[in-house]
Amino acid sequence: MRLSRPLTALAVSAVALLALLDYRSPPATLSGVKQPGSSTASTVKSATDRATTTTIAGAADFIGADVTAIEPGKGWTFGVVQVEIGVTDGRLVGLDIVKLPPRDDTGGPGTRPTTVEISNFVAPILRLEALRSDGVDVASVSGATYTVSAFRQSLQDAMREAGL
Amino acid sequence: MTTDALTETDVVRHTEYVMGTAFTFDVCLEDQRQAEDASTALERACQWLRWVDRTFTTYDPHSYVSRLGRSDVALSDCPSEVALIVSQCERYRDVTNGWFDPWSGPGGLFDPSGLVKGWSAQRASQMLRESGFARHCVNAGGDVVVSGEGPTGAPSWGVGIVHPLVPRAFCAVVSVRDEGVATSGTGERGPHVWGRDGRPSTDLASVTVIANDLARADALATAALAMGYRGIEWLHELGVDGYAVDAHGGEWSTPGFQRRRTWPLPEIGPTATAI
Repeated sequence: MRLSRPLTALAVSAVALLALLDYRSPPATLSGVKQPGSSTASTVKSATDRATTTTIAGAADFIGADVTAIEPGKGWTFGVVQVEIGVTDGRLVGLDIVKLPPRDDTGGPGTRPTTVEISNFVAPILRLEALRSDGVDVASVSGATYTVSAFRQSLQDAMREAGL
Repeated sequence: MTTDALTETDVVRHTEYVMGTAFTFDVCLEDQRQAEDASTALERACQWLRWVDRTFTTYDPHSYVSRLGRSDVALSDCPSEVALIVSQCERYRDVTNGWFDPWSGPGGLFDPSGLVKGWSAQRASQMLRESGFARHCVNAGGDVVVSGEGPTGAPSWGVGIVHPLVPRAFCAVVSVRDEGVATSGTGERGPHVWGRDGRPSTDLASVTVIANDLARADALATAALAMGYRGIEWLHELGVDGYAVDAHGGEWSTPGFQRRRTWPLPEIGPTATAI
């Protein structure tokens, strides 16, 4: 039995958003180059050209972190999400959402997430996965509305594909 | 059951959008054959959450709580859960010396939503346990109940706490088991921060409390946040494990919280920084 409700896959290209990270261990800077109009760009190169990326389409449904400002009292459901990850020296160093559907219902104000909102949602999850890859056991998150579990499956698929 | 770490397929995950937020379930299976039973148990738990939403929502003028607020219905004519929540709210209002007060919101209307979220998640956890799924996590929009061993086979669950001032970072990871972890913050939606005179302290940016019951953890975190710096000492006196980040990024924690901490470890140095 599948519990998650089916979600409409209306993919649009999201504004390119690359996490520029500052880690204790080997710092890596990613810069993204996306072709205009292409929602499936999968090329991300680091300054040292050691980063590889993989793009997967995962059916992760999740909720925006800053919902209150947009529509109090209601969840903000997205549909199919495509994520892109950057890997350097076997470590996850970047995460980008390349496909994100607009909400497909009645419209209204703020039905599409802004870059900042996407960033605020994605970045903690990336940190979480980075901690995990450093051997810290983190299974859940307190203090913000992140549907970590739902999103993690997509990310883990991408990481597996990248051989992490 | 071996001690091997579970693979992802041994964890049933579900997200339920209810009470204006997302409830996320991670249910660990001991055996793949339990998958169907786990789905059934999850559906029951979600039915419960949806019922709670309908009963306690302040957004629907026809809900029991809305009608109770307008005195359109007597408490004795509401489902017994409503009276239970009213009495819990009174109890926590007393325990917190009025710093947690669901009657002090706009217009003086009764708004128990903060407590209801934690309480209903705790109940959902109990339902899963009674259905034979003792290892699970229920995340109610950032307030977390964990039960049994962790998903990796470790004796506990790691719970990351989001930094209230650095939106892209965690400030701590703690190890918990059979407990609730609630974080109240000035920047976080969800439970309102009530003060006795309507002006809560702005000392603290967020307070995290670990307690044996999520409703309790939430009420205490909400109250300590409103109390400000003395809230941390107050949590320690109550014997609960608490942690706070102040408005300047400084960290405060009880000794019990420090002992649970798995990241960052003390030798790493200042902890209230982005990773």
